[in-house]
Amino acid sequence: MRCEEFERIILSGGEITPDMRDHAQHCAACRALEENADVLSGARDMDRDVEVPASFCRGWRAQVRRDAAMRRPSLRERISDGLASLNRRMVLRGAAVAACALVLVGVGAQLGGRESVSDTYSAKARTANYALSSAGAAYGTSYDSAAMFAEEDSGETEARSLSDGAAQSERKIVRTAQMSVEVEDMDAAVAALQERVQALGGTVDSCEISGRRGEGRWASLTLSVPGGALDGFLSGAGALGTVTREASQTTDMTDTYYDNASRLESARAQKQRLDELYAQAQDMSDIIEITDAIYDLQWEIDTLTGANQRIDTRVALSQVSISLTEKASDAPEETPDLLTRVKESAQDGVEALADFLESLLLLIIWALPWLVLIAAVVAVIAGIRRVRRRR
Amino acid sequence: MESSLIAAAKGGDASAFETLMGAYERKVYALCLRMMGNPHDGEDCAQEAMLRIWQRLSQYRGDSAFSTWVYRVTASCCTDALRRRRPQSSLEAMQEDGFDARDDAPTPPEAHEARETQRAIAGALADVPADMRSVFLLRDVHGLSVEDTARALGISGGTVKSRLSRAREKLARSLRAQGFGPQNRDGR
Repeated sequence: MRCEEFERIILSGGEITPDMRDHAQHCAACRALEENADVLSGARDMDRDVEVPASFCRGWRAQVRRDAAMRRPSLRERISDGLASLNRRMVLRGAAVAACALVLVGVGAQLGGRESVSDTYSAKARTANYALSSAGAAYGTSYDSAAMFAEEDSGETEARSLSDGAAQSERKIVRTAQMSVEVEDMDAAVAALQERVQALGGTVDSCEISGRRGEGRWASLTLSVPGGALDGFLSGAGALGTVTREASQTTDMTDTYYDNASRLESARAQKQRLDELYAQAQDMSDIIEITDAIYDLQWEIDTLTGANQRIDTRVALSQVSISLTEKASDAPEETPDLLTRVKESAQDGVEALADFLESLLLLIIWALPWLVLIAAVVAVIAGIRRVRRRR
Repeated sequence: MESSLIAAAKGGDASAFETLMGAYERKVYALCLRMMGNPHDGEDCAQEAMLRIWQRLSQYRGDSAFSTWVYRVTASCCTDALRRRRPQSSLEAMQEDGFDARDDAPTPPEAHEARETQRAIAGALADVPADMRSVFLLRDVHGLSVEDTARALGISGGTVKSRLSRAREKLARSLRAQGFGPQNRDGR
């Protein structure tokens, strides 16, 4: 009898057979289980309710992805490998050409043994020139055009992948800025800002102006300005008046962005794999399990996509908060002439009378129900008194 | 399906590895949690185990079930982590400081008794030496056979049985001391 069978029977509360007794006599582990089954039977379900932390689920996946990414040869390594192999090829070709040149020189010397020293020199020089030109041609486009095209193609591919790599590693910098400016003319300043933002392709997210004209109005604007035009925009805004405060922040979201992108890629690949499994699944429990996993992955994909889109938006459009303060008018108020003041006083009097009459009318209307009630009560009391007097 | 995922993961396909190990992450975490005795160390150890499985996947030749190999790497990680653990952060020291390895989350009434036993076992496991604990966890909790447990821990089947018997006896004594099971057994 095997231990597994013994355990199965013991833990399911089955009868102990002579075989089992015999096994337990020789197996200390099974004997220990038999003697303690009453308290150990719950062990198998001990981990049933263990909750796996989300940080662990995310953590090991991220570690594995990082490790996988590190294992891939980098662009630099691929380029240096390519150069090394190119160098090897060039050395081999050079050596072959030099060997040919030496052979030709030798043969030439043997055939033209009667040549003068200068001829020999010329011949050697010609041979050497030939050798050099051959060697040069070996590296020229006309000589091995197919190979060079291939090399050019490979170079182009590398260049393309370099540019892809550059695009991949494009930094995701989110910039925000705040500025306080004291301006002479609030309306003109606000209009100028709005016009400038719209011209740059940005938007005015909010605009609030408070205060009375001529008494130092205050405005607050929140603007979305294309990231590339932020510096120019800020200097333009500063030129509207006197800058009393200027601040800017830069947040590097590169790591977050590419980490999200990597997780997104992985989630998409997993989802594709699960989609394939789903298409093949026959068992209902498998279908349910795969469906749950697909939903989870889809949720992750949506979340990561949204997060990166938000980063893209924040990188493309920098948020700028500008507060404008209008300088209060320093010019003394002009005193109006007598006629004007009489007119204004008369106008004020008429307006005050009209206000009073309006208020009185409203008061009467408001009090009317109460007056009716009081009149009714008074009439009743008066009627009672009259009756008493008659008696 | 598992073999194709293993092959893809061996070739460096991280997403295949994630799909493959998604089915094992709970088991790996649970084993680490019980071996280390607390969620924090358990999670750290489980992370390390997952990474080690990924990095050593090429060493898996298919001589045993993949699950056995996963347990082997995980158990090895736990052993290393327990060895590295500094004396002041040992489970015993933590318990002296008031740490309770048991999960005190509230339970529904119908499952109360079973959960209490499971918690008690989890708590009592802390008193069992690590080598016995690993055998007990693989055999009695994760349900590996004696042979697979032996393979996973790199020990002989006889050692598995002897450690298992001692672990069971130790645990049972501890549980009885806590009031689980009949106090005065009439023997079988």
